[in-house]
Amino acid sequence: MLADTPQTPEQWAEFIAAAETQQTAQQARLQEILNGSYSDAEKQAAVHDYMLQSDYLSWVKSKYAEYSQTGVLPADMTYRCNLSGNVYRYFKEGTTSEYEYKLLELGFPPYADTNEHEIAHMQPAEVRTFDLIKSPDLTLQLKVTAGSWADPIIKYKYNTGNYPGVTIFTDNYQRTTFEILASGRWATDVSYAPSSSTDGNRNYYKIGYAWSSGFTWIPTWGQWTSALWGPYSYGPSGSGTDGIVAQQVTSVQKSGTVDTPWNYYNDSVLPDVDPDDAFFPGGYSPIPQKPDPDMPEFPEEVENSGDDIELPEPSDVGAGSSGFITFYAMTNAQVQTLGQLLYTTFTDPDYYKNFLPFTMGSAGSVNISDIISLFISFRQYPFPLLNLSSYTGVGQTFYIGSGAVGLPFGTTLHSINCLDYVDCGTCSVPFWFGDFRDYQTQVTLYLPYCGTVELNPADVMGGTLQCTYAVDFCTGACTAYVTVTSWDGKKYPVAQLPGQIGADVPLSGTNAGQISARIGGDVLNFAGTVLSGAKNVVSGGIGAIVGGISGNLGSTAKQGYGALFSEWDTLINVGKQIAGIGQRGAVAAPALSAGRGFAAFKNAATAYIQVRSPIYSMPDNYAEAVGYPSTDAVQIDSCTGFCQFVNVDVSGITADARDAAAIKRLLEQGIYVNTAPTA
Amino acid sequence: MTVTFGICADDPRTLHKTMSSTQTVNVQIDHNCDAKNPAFLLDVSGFNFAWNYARCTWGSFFISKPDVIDGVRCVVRGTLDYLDTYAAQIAACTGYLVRTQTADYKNKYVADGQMPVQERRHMETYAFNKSPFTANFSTDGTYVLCVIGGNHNVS
Repeated sequence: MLADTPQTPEQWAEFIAAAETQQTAQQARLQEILNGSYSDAEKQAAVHDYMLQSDYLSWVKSKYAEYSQTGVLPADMTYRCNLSGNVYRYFKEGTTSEYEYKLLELGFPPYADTNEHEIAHMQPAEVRTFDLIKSPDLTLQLKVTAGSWADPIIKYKYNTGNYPGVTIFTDNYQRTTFEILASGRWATDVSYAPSSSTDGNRNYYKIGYAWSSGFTWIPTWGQWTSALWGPYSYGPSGSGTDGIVAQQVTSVQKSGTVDTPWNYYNDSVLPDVDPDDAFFPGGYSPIPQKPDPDMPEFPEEVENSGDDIELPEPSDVGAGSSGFITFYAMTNAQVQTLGQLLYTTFTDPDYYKNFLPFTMGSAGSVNISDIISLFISFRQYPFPLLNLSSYTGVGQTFYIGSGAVGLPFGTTLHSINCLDYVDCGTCSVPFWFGDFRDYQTQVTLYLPYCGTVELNPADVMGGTLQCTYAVDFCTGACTAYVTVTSWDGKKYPVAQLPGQIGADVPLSGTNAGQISARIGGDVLNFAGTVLSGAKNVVSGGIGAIVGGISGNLGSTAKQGYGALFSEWDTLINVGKQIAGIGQRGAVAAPALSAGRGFAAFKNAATAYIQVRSPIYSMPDNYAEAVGYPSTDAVQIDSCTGFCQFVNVDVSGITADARDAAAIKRLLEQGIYVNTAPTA
Repeated sequence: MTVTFGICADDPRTLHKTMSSTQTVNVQIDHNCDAKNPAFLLDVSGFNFAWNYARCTWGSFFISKPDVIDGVRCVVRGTLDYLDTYAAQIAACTGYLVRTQTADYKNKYVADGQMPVQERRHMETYAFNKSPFTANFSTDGTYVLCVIGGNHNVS
């Protein structure tokens, strides 16, 4: 029973007018979709919805007729959709004329948005003039005989190679392998001899015209023109006779069955709408087929007033700008070159002096370990560094230490910033069911070298995730920042996951991993440390900082920058200090599932998302036993079957308080509403 | 007074009950009886023990098992059926419907937390490879060597 059953003639008029208004709007919408750039599924859905609306309007009018004839309200005002039967009748195979008739009846041209669907423009009488034979492999054979334009046809010639095929429905319906019955027949009867020379320039032909005598020439694939040419002589460029000449098509005979656009609307594609389960508009299926293209439409009454949350730009100072260190981005060959320079080729002790002026030792007292001790870290990263924004060529000399003299390297070296970013792109998370189940899922995001993180489905369903890695080349750490652009256009971060992306490569007996642990801390804290210490630098000089930290400087402690790291132990102490400061930062331990070191390189290299949805069981008697959710305030006798209420107004019941409370409790527990049995 | 006894096969939660095999008999009731739990005293002769429901002028009752008194009389006790007794008035009440079997009132996109879930192993995993992140890491990486000094001051 409808909630507002019309009681008076005026209400009936309003009732019908409302249905007709809906009908008009739905028709306009259908017209728009059929003529627009919409997918076949959307067009199908539009026709489907229109059929529903039409069915509803017919039902309204039938009820009014019943009321006007008898003068009493119809006993049954429950709308029962008869959609499925109608749709099947209209669109099943072999019902071309019915389909044609139905669309014409609706007041607009039949389903035809592009030239590929042109056959749908055929009037029923014209359709009958075809002789189309469909073999089991969907090959369409066309037999054309010469004659007049009295019975025009629509055909497309599709350039498929040496011999042009003919297709009526192309890509949209996956019918691309139609062939002409016989070239001789075709050439003779329509005075057209297909050849490679002409076919190569004409990808698409339309022969004949359904609405009037004439011929529409389509010069190139996808280029549609509605210009009508003369029925007897025309060419690809509007002149000459190298096109179809003197077309005299009298008839095209049809036999067999041809797959046509209306057959696209077959049983397998149509929504399974149970008339007894109908819910206007759009039908109701307890478990909608997936995916549901209708979801979501943002509720109009909800004001989406959230703000975009953007990630900030980092500070313009960093570890590199401190002047302490340099990050060389090196290829494998360059690393090998460096090793050769250090261990074999480069043997002149004076170079050591130049590289280590602050050691102030004799040439003989300087050894390779002194050089290596100036290496803070050496790591491999699983991505090409040349794509980084800070990747900069710095010449062919490898500098270290004071930088007074460098190693002649031979190839251009590159440096990078301590902090740079790797863009991992985006990942769309589509609505799958189009109902509440999309929000009862488990959404797991895997980020290489960081591990997995559970996301709130409400944040990501229907949205697009974007992932960016901030890589700290000072420590090898990384932080994956994941933002989502939700389906309603808002952008906000949903995950920030730390990890370890750089794998330490041991350089010497001093394990690089241990160095990393001592130097740990993110670049921002490192920079903050330097800036904080700069207060002291102003007056006491940087050497004084080191003196304060280690308390272990020699006599050369105040000889400037080069004296900073006169001893390796000093460097270690600095590392300890920096590490201690860095631990106050936000860098957390990487997720255990991500792994570390070279072993982590075996992990999945692409970020991905997993969505796990529970499969719900829907017993046949679910509505009777449990009931579907509802949000209506209704009179109880307008319901049928199992119903559960809250806040029932029992003030109208002539019962004592005890009975009224008992009744209220029963209604909240759920009752079966039925009509009073007849005596 | 007379009471109609019969068999009611409806779910107790049904608004209007339907009785079959009805039989109207004379009964006596205790003048002190509770109107919601009356005790009906009636003649055993002709008693049909299949009765489980009774209607009288002031209400409808679920009937308990009879207590035989002396071989001639027995007592059956009733429990008031609120729904059937007040069915007509309840039907006219208005309430907020939260769950329903009525097709017209059920909502399509309202979360149904009561829907049973199949076994956990039947969970469906999807989008594993759909629209993946467009970039990935690889093992074709390069090295980064961080050294003291170097004169390449970058941030």
